[in-house]
Amino acid sequence: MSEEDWKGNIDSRKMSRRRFIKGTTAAGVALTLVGIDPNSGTFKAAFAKGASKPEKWFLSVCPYCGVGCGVEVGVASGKVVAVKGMKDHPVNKGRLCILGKNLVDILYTNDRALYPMTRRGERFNRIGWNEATDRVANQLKQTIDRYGPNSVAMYISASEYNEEYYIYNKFVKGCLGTNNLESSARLCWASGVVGLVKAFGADAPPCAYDDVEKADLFFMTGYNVYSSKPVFFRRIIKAKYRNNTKLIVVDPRNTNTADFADRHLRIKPGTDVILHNTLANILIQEKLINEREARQLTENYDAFKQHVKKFTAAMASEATGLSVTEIVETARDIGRAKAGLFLWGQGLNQSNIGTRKVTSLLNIVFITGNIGKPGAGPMAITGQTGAMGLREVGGLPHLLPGFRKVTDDKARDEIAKIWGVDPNRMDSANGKTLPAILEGIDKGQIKALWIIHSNPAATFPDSNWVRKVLSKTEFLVVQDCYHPTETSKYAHLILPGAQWSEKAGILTNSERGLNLVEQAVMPPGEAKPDLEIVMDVAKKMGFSQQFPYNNTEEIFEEYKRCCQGRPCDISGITYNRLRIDKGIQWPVPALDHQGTKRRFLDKKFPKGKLRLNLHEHQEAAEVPDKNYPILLMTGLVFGQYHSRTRTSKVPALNRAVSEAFAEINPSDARKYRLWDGEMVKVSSKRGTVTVRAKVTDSVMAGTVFLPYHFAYLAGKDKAINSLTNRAFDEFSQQPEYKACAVKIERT
Amino acid sequence: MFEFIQNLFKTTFSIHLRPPGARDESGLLAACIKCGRCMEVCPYQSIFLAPYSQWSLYGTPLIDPLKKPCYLCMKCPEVCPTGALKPVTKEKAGMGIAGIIETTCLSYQETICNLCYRHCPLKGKAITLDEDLSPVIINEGCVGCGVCFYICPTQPRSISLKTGRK
Ligand code: SF4
Ligand code: SF4
Ligand code: SF4
Repeated sequence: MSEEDWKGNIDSRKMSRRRFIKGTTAAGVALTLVGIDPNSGTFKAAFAKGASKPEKWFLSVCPYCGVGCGVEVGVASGKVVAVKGMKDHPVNKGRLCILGKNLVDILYTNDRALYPMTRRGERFNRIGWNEATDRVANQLKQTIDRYGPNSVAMYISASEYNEEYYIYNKFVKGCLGTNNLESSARLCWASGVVGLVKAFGADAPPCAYDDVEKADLFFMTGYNVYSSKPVFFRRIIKAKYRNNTKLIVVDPRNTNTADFADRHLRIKPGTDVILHNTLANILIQEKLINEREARQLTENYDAFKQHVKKFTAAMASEATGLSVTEIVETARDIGRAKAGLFLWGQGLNQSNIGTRKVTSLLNIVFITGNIGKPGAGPMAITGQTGAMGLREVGGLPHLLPGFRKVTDDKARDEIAKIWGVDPNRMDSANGKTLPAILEGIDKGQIKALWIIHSNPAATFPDSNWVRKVLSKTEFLVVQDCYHPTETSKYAHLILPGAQWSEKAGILTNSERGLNLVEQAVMPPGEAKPDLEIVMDVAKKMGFSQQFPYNNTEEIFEEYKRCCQGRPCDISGITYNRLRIDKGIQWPVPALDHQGTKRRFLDKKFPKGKLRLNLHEHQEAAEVPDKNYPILLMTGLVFGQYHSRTRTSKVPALNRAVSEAFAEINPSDARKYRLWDGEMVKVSSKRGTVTVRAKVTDSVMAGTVFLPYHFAYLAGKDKAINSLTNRAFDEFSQQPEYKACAVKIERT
Repeated sequence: MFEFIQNLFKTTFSIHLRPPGARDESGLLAACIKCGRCMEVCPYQSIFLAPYSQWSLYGTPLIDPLKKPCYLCMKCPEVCPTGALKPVTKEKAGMGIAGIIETTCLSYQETICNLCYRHCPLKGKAITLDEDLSPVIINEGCVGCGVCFYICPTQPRSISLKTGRK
């Protein structure tokens, strides 16, 4: 099957239809008709809704997941009226999932933030832009004068555009002189990225989506792709049926993705490091790998071989709850595969040993030689659409543009020169991560926090504590396109930002593909594109010289200079080129360069050789005990996105999942005398929620699953993250959402 | 105006399902003593008793899947004192049958939806996916609980629902 040919499989479609029709007529059932199909009644209403025809179409990208499907935005009389998948986009070829399909609904809601607002007691009063930016500028200046630059911090989302990250970076690191610029990528892919850096020596997603059709094995672990990256999953499934690709899914839950697996390893939660090391050991012992090649590729193969020796199948079977045959057969499947694609998700990342889990998986990838060839490698697709761009631009507390490190003196000099700032003004120490920022507020070290399009009061673990901390902040600015959100309630100042379609920029997707997002309409009310707001403040603080831009294209041109000669060289990209070469993958060093689909085909790695990280298993930070005997895992459900600030506005999505629920195993339900559909109280040491019990064997006995989408706006006792534990990965500082101890009670 | 037509159609012709395990229509009408226990016990408040306007059915339990479908928790048959609803397994609920309207179903039009499949209480037995990830109802397995009908995101719904015992 060719790479371009993955989308249509006409024959199978025809077949299924025939099957369907045959099935219908064969239904020998007698039906009593009490009412007729009401569909006919709603038909005209639906027609009326789509009445205004788009006058103009704009290029854009779906603002949700990291797959980055191309969309076209239809505008009529200054309003977005339609969205469709971009037919000639290499990522989705016109397809969308229902999140992307229903994008129009997120724009015109009655809780858009329209004016700058300031807090007066419990209420918010409208103020003008001038007053608002004055206040931010003055407060930041005063705070820095009194407590030093590291007393302020900015927390941004990972769904912004590269130009925006660039401006925030320049403002915070270059002008304010602190590295406290943190992003919500911390909650989502931090461990994955740190894992890649530890193994490759640099942040380096090597694969392309096109590898899907070239692989003969998919190994997915802790990853419910069918629910989180639906468009990409369809491509996987098409390839699987067409090429007979083997699909191995490792997941403690019976997820929608696991339904399609050839082999589903229902692993005991948290024991991934043991499984990975054991698989590696079996691969080595049974001589399923090419040792010479492995020694060539990696710098410490023999030490690794020694390290995994003790991980026998018998021992792993005991620890992971899988049978010896399951483990051995899986190892053989991996060993036999000519090109294996390894995918992982939050099941590995969101853990106190997330980085270890990721690197132990990468070890398998490396020793089996599944790197630097088509169809093989580790594939890391982020949860947020701008997370790859964020890393390139360096919107994190330890990075500068072009994957430079803030601790590197030369890097700071280079960037200071491009930025036109004094290099001595820049801080040479890593800034604070989100856990450290919140701790810092709690301890009084951080006085001012500026949050842009993020909702930590809903998404950070132990949210009762987070809310207490946020209410303690001396100066909290929340810049968002919606108000109220769980977080904006605590703001001293609310700045109305723009969202998808209302601002322009470039997005890098998870295969390093660059896409242009055009501004299709004006933001509502007095809302403004976010980088304009930040630049206004910067100018008021005396940095007019550093921000002379008239449009985002000029910002991009300056950012490009930071990438010259770096891994993410994009010298060959212009806004105009992206209108034609959609999704072109960096590095693109010259205008006539066609982009780089796969990296490391020459097996030249950033540090010469790859590193195998030797790690041991470690228990979760909080394990079930007598009082809290159940293990809680949180995760997503299809059709909702993060803290639901957007998806809760889409009626079509909310019938399917309208309220929080707890998936409980039937045996536990019996134990606690719970019936499916009843309300149940789930509590941890930190909080309590009351949700609907969903009795299902898709979770193991002794575990419950709760969707993390619900927070205080859904109800006082619905905030799922009030349960979760403030434990973090030692390397990445990513929170452990996948393990905490709870108890369940009848209500 | 369209709202009005829409509502008119909805109220006049909406489908009403019987709770799971119900006898056939005449058997149910004969056995049901209109005690409303099934309505009280339903954790989802799916069941209502037929209003006076539906005079021949007055007081007997109905489910309107446009408002709230039956999630097949199977609590109601347990409490029925007369056996008008018989305790059965989910698979034998026998409330009706659904059908996919392929001309409007998103999954047949280049959109990944499959909400019906994902939320079906009998996923895999009542509904499955073809190689294109488009949903296909398995007639032998579908019991007509109305969940897919309720959640289908298209307007109008891309699922038809017929009621009645098999
Ligand atoms: S798969 Fe991801 S990028 Fe594509 S439409 Fe869905 S949410 Fe958007
Ligand atoms: S089976 Fe459960 S959800 Fe369905 S009508 Fe009966 S009580 Fe309600
Ligand atoms: S829920 Fe409706 S639109 Fe979605 S796949 Fe099912 S029938 Fe199609």
